[in-house]
Amino acid sequence: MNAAWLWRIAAATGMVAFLLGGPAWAFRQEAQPVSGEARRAFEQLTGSAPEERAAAFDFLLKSKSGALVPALEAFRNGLLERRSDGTLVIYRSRVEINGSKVFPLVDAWTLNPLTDAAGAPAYADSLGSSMLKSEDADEQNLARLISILSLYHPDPDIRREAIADAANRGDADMLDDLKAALENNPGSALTSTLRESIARIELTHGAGDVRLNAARTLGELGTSGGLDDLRKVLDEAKSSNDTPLTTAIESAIARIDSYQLKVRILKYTFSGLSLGSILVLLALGLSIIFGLMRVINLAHGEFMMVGAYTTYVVAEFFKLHVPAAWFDYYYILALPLAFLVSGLVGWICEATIIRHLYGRTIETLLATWGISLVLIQTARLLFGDTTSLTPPNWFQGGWEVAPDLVFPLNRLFIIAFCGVCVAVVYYLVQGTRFGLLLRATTQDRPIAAALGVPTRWMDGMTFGFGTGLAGLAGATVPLFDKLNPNIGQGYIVDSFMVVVVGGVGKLIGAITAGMSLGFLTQYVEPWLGAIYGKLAVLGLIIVFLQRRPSGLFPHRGRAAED
Amino acid sequence: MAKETGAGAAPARAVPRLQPVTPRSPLGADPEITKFRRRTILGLLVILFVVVPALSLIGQYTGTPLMEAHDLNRLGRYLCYAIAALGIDLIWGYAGVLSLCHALFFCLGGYAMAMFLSLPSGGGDVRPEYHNIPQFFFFNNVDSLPVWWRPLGSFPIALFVGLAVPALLAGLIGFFIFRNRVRGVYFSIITQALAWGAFLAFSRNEMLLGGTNGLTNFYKPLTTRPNWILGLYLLTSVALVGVFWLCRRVVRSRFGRVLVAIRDNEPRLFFLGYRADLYKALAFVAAALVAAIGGMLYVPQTGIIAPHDMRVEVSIWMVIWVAVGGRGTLWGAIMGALVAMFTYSSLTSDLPQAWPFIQGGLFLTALAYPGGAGELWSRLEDERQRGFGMGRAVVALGFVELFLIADKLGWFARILPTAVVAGVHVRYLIPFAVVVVLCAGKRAARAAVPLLALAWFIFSEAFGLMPGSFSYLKYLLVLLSIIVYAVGESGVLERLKNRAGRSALAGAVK
Amino acid sequence: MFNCLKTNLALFRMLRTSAIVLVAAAVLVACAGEPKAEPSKDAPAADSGSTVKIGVLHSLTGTMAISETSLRDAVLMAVDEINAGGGVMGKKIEPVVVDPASDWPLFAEKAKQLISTDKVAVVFGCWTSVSRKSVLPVFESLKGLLFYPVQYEGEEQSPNIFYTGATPNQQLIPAAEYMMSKEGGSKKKFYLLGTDYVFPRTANKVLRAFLLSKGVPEANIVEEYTPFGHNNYQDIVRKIKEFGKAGDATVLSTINGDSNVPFYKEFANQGLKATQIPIMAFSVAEDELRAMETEHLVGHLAAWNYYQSLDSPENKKFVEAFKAKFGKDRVTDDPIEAAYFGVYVWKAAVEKAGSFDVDKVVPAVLGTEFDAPGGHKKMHPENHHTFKPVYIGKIKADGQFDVIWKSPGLVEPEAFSHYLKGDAAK
Repeated sequence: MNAAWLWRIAAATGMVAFLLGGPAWAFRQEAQPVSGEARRAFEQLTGSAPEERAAAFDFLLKSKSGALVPALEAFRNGLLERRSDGTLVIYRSRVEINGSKVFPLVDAWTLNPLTDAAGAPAYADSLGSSMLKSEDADEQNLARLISILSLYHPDPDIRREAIADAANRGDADMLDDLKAALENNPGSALTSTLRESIARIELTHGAGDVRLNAARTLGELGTSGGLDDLRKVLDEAKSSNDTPLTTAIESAIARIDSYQLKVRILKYTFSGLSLGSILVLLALGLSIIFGLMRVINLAHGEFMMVGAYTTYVVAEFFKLHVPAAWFDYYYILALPLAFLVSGLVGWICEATIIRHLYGRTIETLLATWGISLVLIQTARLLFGDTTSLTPPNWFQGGWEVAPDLVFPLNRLFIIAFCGVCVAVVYYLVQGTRFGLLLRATTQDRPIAAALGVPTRWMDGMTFGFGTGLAGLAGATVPLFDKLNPNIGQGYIVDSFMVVVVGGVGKLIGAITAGMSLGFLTQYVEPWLGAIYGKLAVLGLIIVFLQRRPSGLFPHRGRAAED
Repeated sequence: MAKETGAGAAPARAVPRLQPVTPRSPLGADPEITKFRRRTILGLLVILFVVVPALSLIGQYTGTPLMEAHDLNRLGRYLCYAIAALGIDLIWGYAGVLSLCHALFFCLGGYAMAMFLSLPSGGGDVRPEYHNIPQFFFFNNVDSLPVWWRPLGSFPIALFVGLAVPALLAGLIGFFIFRNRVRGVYFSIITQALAWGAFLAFSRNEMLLGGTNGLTNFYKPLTTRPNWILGLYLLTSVALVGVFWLCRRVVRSRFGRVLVAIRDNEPRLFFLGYRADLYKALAFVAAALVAAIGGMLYVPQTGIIAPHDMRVEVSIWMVIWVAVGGRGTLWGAIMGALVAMFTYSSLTSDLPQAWPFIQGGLFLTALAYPGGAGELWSRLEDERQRGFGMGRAVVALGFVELFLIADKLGWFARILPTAVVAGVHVRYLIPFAVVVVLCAGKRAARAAVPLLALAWFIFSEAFGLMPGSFSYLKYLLVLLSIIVYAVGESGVLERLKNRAGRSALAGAVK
Repeated sequence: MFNCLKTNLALFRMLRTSAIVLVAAAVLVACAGEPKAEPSKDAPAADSGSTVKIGVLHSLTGTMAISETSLRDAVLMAVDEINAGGGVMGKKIEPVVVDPASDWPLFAEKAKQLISTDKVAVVFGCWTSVSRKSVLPVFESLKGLLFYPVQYEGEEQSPNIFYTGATPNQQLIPAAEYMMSKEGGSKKKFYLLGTDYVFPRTANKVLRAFLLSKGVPEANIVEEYTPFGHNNYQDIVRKIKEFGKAGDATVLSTINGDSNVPFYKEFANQGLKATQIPIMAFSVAEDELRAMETEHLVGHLAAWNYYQSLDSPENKKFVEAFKAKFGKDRVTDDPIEAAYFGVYVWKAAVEKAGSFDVDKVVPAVLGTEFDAPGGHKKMHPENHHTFKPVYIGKIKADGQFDVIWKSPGLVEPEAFSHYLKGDAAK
């Protein structure tokens, strides 16, 4: 390995770390202290006297103490405990430690983890015996209180929700709070949400010019949140013959509709991109394997499953042996491991079984199907059917590009990751000696062998490489899908489609076809429904293959005749 | 085997090594072999049409557990699969086209028959509270029979639809796809997509074909009354023999030779002026028809048909039957279907949760023998010609089966000791010993060992004779027979013997 | 034919493959294979000697294994308990476990084998409706007896089957009523989302008829179906979000099996919370929640007749025994309880009838009252279903349910829903 290689690896690692680490920085949050009065009011809230509770609600509604929200949420969800010494403890959502699921415990006011005698973080096996339970009658009040206080919550995502909630309830009391918030945070990410909510409330509760302005604002913003309100008020305006208001609202609705159409198209494109990315990752491996060895790898989906379970095992290992704070970093370790393990399993299958079947294309199909049966059942016996992967916290939430246009981070990651993989694979195939030998063997095996290319060795390596890529896809799939021994089956037909449409053995074909198939599926599905959408895509593919039997990028020359 | 050149893109070398379709002339012309074949076929026909019905009838009238109704029903259903396997062999084994939507054609035939059977005119179990039409309509808010369902109430039309729809579909697909010179894997993958699409479509309740639950509630005696079961079984057997005979005629005709030529070198045939695409499309239609016949017979014996049966997996299964039996030999397809299905059936009872391992292992084993069970048969004929017999082995098989019948009737329970060793009754050592003694003769054909072990497995399972305590022993026995055969064939024994200086024996073998 | 060289190589391969298969077989016999109950086909009748055989017909492989394996465990646990307590009428129970492999015709085949060959006295099994439909003629013609433990679409009543799961009126109607009530958030718009098969279709038919009868306008009810194993819910969740913007909508979900994981994930991903649009699920129980990250699910609802969190000494005992037997991460849920108490109902009936004969056991089951882990229950005196209490549960962070509503008493099962009868009459 020379220096250039080291640089390349360092660059790639840096890129991955940047991709994974960036979101982690963005979502750090600090707890702020809770005032003594708020604490006392909260205590009253958990008490039994109805009048006291009502008074506490009134007090807290005005207190603006956003730091109370975690305690209130826990109280509502039944995750708050009052210990015998009077301290309030929040049970956080469960993590798996030493093979069993336990609740991390934090102090309700400081949000610091509780510690046991030895100073290690404390956990609870199950919910405690003295959990506080909110009165059913208070449910609505509590929800309102939480959403109002959430306006002052340190986490911007929660603030955003609270702002939208206020408008959903049509809560005119909060108008002042919202306006104050708008003035205090000019140019923040929340501005458009704030403006929308203010306009919505003004539209329903205001009169005269305020309403007109509100309608215009809503039209300007183009977000869908105000549509229902606008329509409601439009009916009102029509019945009371309020012409200026009617025209203002109608133009606002038209503006919103046109904006929403754009947003929808972008969303579908984004969904298509993310589905396409998975397909490309899978199809790359399939395509390379088929192109080089004429092996129809029906077990490709199962190699993906192996990758997914490798990720799962790494996550479980981290839960057992690594401090919880470092948990998220398991994913960085899991990616290369998924590649290696899947690749190794693939290499072993190649060396023991598939090697004997070269030249018998159809038999490889049956053999790989046998392998897939065995792999599925092995996974079922080892892990059972009810496993789930805890995704790293980095991938929670989304990135708001424009109002109403949020791209979930996990899908963004998959797209970026696929891009990186494609670049690396392209470089490996087109720019390295390994790739040169690979292409030579693909194009004309006997000549390559005659020129001294170790074709046997190439086969093993390539099969391992292809299945390793499937393993990488497998490491990303559980981020948004289930994790069970059958997951591979759901993707295999699609990825074969991609390979065939793209032209067997062509990287560029797999990439183009994967992306087009992703887009096509996502554009057609909302319009025809899930099943007919799929059928339509299948039909289109069959018609397409009628026109171009060898796919988008057919092989030319001698290898074409096969 | 020349591995280095075997792999790769060059088409001439990619052609799998298969047996010639036509009988090898020196063997085929040998009167001894012809007689041997005739006798075997006669034996199988006797078993199919005489022994099985006789066992079933005797069991039925004497009330003894000989060949129970459900065993007969199962055998009948598996023979339907064997019919479908013949179709696969026709298109894959002879024309070299791998279709992965065979189960779709099977199910299309089945659905036509099921539609007839679920309507009142076909004896379907309909109720007035659901408007006297199949119950699933009610769940889909349909109160009267849709127009396109109505003709299916007549049996001849159902029969016609069950054959015409698959044939038409196969014709359309075949014509257009082959015309555009879509070949090999591309064809497989398109058919796979088609099967998948059909599965999705049939699973839709809006299709008014019962959705995922499929069609059921047929005339109940079909699957329950012994006479109906026996009748359907005999019908299936006749259909199997008929389809087999037809397929044989086809593959030995000029048409069949063209198919083989397509498989072996399509470009050359093309340049000789043949429309290979039309031949392939025709073969595809024929295969679809065969599958549809199987499906139409399958449905009344099963009592239910659901989209589940047309999944891609089922089609792959069917291909595997043919691979197990040996592609390019018609009877191999039948044998493969039976072996695979009986293995599946018994494994899921004996080793719940662990059977996929054995199943997967079996496929891989089958692939290691490129000729499948068909290869064994030609080996047997070779050995036969060289003077090795299998008479004693057949006698041994007969003895074992008779022993098991007697055992099942409980005759031995009184006479013989009931001691149990390692989960197996000691009395089973008797047939085992008899087999060893009978087959220990030097002149027994080696290929007869695994063939008879397979026959023993199929017969005992089909007749319901396999002792329950044989749960995993039977697989080990069959595997053992294969290993014995493989070791014998590998020449290891001869070399050992040679080394010991017993060259006389080696000379006799040569 | 092969030449000499080829033959030897080919045979070498055969040998090697055979060896691999053998090793696989040995490994599986050694570790994976369940020890098969001693000679199963050798004994001539179900109640010969000192044992009585029962059949367990749940898929252990294939797509339904995820749900059905736990039911097998529940049945085997009940059997062990009964055997430890001296068996049924002095006979030990010997379970015959077979694997119908999620293959519908194979269900019928295995049912026939269990009844005819193994001569079992009763069979506990099936999950999907199609598997039950597949075995129904078998049980009726061979005079077998099946206990079916899963909630289903109703419209069936076989003399040879006892249904220990819920009928539509024991699950759907109370849930819809709850969502319309003040505690449930006075919901006015209903998104009926299901997997495309007979239970969701019928359930939604019942729900729609009920909602219309309560004055919900047609426009406020949306019905949508996705195929089995569907895993891309981006578009549907987007529609739900649009549908429920005003906060007065709820999703009534009959999504089945592993599709729930991507559905809830997408739901959380797009920022929807239970406080805005709660999902009321009819096919998500504790066992399904094991496969999900429950923190996104807190506050969503489900309607069942049993929860692991029910607070009673019998239930505590049951849950502890289940965990002790199968691992402390395992959970119990409604179908597991139904599968479990089914064995006890059968035992009680056998003892009441004094016989293992199906003809005598069936009348003895009718009207039996018994104590199940989830409380006192009763078999219907006529229609072969079970009187059950109905509970609405709210998902907690630990994958358990907080029972927030409970029916005043046992709800009578309606095998044939009267909401559908009105429809049939017109």
